[in-house]
Amino acid sequence: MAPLSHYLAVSAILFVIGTAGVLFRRNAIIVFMCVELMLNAVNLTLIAFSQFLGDQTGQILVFFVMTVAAAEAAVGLAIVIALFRNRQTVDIAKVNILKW
Amino acid sequence: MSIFDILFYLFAAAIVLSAAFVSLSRNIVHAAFSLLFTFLGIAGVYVLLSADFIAVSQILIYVGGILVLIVFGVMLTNRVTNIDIRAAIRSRIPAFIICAGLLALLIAFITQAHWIRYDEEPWKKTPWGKNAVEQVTKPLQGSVREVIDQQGSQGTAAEIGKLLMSDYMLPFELLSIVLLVALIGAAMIARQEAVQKKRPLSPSLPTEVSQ
Amino acid sequence: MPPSSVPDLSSVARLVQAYSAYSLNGFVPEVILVGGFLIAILLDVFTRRAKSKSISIYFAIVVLAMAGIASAFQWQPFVAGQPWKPGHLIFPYSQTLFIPMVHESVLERGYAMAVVDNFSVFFKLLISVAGIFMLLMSLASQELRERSRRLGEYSSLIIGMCVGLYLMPASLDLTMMYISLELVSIAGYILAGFSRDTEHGAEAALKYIMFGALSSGLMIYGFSLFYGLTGTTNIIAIREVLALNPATHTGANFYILWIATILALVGMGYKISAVPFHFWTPDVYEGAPTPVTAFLSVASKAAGFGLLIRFLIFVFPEGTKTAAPVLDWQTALAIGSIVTMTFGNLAALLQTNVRRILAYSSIAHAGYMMAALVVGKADGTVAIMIYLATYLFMQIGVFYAVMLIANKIGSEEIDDYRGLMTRTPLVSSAMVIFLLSLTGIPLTAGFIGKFYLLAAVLTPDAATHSLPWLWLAVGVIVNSVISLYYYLRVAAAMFLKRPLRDMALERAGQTAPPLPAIQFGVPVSALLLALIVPILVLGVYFQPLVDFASGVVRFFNFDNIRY
Repeated sequence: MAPLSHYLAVSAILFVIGTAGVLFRRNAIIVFMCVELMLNAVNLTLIAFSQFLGDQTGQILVFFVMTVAAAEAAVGLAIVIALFRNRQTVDIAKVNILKW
Repeated sequence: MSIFDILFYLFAAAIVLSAAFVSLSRNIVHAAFSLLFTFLGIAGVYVLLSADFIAVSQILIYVGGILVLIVFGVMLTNRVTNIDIRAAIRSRIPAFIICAGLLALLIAFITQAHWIRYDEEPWKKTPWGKNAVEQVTKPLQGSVREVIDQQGSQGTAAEIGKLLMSDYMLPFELLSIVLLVALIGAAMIARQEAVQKKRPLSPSLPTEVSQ
Repeated sequence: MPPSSVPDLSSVARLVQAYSAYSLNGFVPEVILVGGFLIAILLDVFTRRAKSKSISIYFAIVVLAMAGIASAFQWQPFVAGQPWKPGHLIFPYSQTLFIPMVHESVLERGYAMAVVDNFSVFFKLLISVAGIFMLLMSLASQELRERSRRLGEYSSLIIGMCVGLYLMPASLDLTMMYISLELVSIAGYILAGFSRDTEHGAEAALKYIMFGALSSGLMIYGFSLFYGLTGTTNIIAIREVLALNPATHTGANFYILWIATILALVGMGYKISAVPFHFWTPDVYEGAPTPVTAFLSVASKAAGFGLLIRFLIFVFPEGTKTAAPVLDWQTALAIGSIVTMTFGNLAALLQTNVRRILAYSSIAHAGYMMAALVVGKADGTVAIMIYLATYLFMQIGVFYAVMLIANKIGSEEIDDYRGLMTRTPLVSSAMVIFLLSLTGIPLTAGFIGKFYLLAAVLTPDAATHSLPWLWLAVGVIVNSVISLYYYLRVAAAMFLKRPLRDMALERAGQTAPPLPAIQFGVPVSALLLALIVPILVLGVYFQPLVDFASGVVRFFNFDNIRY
């Protein structure tokens, strides 16, 4: 069986890819996809720990993260659609009436 | 190298490549389909980690729920054809440097770190470990794979169900509130308000329903 | 143990205690809120006319008041000489951590999901009061009245958000922390986008959810690293493993612990809008309906601080520094605090919109409170709680005044505030009192908050008799002086400056007829007075508040936190 560190490395790579996407992409829907990548990386880490520790707590946490991710995605996409109705764009850089 | 290891590295490659494609792709529809392969690859790794229930949930929730939702989002916001659906990346080079640095740091520490294991001495020193390790975890001696080889997989669903109904009951119930709030909120934010002013298109439909 | 026919009474008592922890005892306020949440949804279905929708706001006020009263009953008075009693644990572990159900350490040490102690009761009361004021404020809001068809959803979402806010400072488990924080966040995203038909509203909600999703993703990754390091998600158990097992915090693990702590603090720093995670604050404060802004800036921030205190002081307590890893989070937090308050104040200087000024000033206030958090221990915690209690009235008050003015003149620009004193003396003088209190001028509640905060930061080190955080206190004072400038700028515009229209007319050689006076109804003025009175009273008679806050902290037993 592959060692724990390999599982963690895969999830770290996935996490950084997701974070990079959230930080540097402009399309709101792609940003939400990248958030899902981040949460999947978290889940992978938790499952790996949980199995190598022989403790089921990690799996419960994964279950919760999944549900929260679904709720967040639903609300996020609803907001994107509401914004699209007003502005006809999903580009974050064009969403700039409110400055920094 | 067993067949399981080869499968793991195959899945890992699929996950990383398709995730990178999601993050870099210029076409949002391609990104959404690439996300499908990431989700499936992760489900495969869960199976290899003998987390059967979570693997099934992964496919049901992520692929069946979230991905479908995202595809709907793509479709609804691309209704107007004159909008360019190509999404540019803001600043390539600094983004790449920051992420590479972060990744190197994380991997360096994560691979060297000592993660706690059930059978190690300091773990037994903890208040719950003292009397518990030998009593409760006797059937759990050895790595997960060894345990499964010895007694066959029991599946994790029963264990997760027990935990959800006992220790994790409070977060579990709270989660239902989270979902209800998200449901009401998403409906409130996304529904068309214009109906309020116009008459409903079909006279048989009352206003409330056509919202 | 000799066999005996007499049952062991202590074990029976323990069993009863353990089972009562699973009952709804100690969970009454949350049950009231959840029930109210469900009824509010039904109520929305049955009230069809837009005019009768505001009944749901009255209903929400009743629910929050009941929940607040129920949580006041959970207060455990401190009796001198009696042994320290832990809070009432909710949902202790039975299955995980390999502990048998009635293992004594479960109840003694706090291996539970959540706890009802005076600390959480304090925050519950604070949140209820903030929620009631916010709902009363909503009744007067023009912005909400224009969207009265959605008021049913609005008030039910606020009740739902309060469930999360109640549980955030009560959580003892990373799972619980994550979910209650997410409940607050998700309800917050929706409420921020309530006026989504305006461009500002939807945009504010989008920015809020993007930064929120990012920071909660980072936070849960940090939590997963904690789980990998210690094998548990309970914050007290995490501390014990860290203390007992040097392998978890030496070598590479030390850096992992740092990364995990910083990532966990990202999510909490986002809730209190500390500086690197503040990007959403100005936009959301400007784009959300004003009552929601006031609520987010008070209740959400208070609960965030409750969570932060619980997390930092329980995982890395001062008292066990010898055994626990010497993770120097205090210096890191002190730097974060200075950066937060300085950035907030300097950015506020550049703004012309009053709501954005207040948004940046709320970032600065988060910085002040972080300074007290650096000190940790009893003094710092008491100072934060006093600060939050005074901050509640002045922050809600100032947003209420801004909302009342915006209802009438339709603007939040500082130039449009010129000459308001002659037009509406009551609201203008109230606004000035709130602004002076936010600055921390003596005889206002804000001064008491700042005073206790500085006293906590300037506590001499017991061993060396030096002042370790002198530079932090200097930073707080300098920043308060900077903040005086922009607060007084708003006040001066209202009191001293003449309206731009009059000046233009005068230059053209015409005499300007005075701008019409602005009238407000009795209930509106009464609410304004209800916010001013606590500020003035707490400014001179603050002892009860201080006693109350120190009564909370006495239960913490900082030398040896064991629940």
